Amino acid sequence: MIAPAQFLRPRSSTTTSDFLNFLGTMSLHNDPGRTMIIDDVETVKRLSPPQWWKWFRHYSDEDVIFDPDRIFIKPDKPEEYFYDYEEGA
Amino acid sequence: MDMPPPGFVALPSATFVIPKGGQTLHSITEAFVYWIALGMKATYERMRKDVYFVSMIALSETGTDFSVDFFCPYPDLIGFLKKNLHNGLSPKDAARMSNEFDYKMIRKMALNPDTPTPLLSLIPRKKKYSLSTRTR
Repeated sequence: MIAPAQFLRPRSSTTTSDFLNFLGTMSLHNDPGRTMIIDDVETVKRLSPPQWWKWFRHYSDEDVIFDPDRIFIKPDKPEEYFYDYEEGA
Repeated sequence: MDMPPPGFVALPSATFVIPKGGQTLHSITEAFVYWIALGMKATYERMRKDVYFVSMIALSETGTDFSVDFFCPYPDLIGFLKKNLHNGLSPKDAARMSNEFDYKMIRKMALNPDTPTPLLSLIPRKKKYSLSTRTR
């Protein structure tokens, strides 16, 4: 088993479970007041799953890590998720 | 708002209020691991492949109770927990029942009250063995 920090990679959030894992790990590592610096936002956007990117925009705008009311799944495909946030809204 | 496409539903969740009764945050969390294992056994008995999934748990304390917010992408598992926890399945019951099958618990993270914490579960596919005889 590798260290929990492995779950903080955006690219791994392709399924609902991996996304929840990411959010939970973020919550556990959260240090209020700490600044997150991203050198190349365009690369992060290009390489990350689209739903994760919407979460990231929400996090950037409102500093919210886990908002369960914005997460939707398909009952017949539980590992497919949708994040309810409109960029620039 | 960015509305979800047709076929999507809110992330299944439930809130449970459990009397403390000598339990700690850690023992309640361990009980949820047992309950999850029992629930997956009951609801996904005929799994054709290994199932890996993550649920999210957030615990808080009041004077006499624990409040547990539980989120999981598998609606049937939430249904199992709602049914059995409301019927009074205690942490001790769950631990006893879980002795019926093998499990391994790996603790890798701190557990903080009011912090959403991921619980990783790997349920291996049920192994089937067959015996055959061969004659010459």
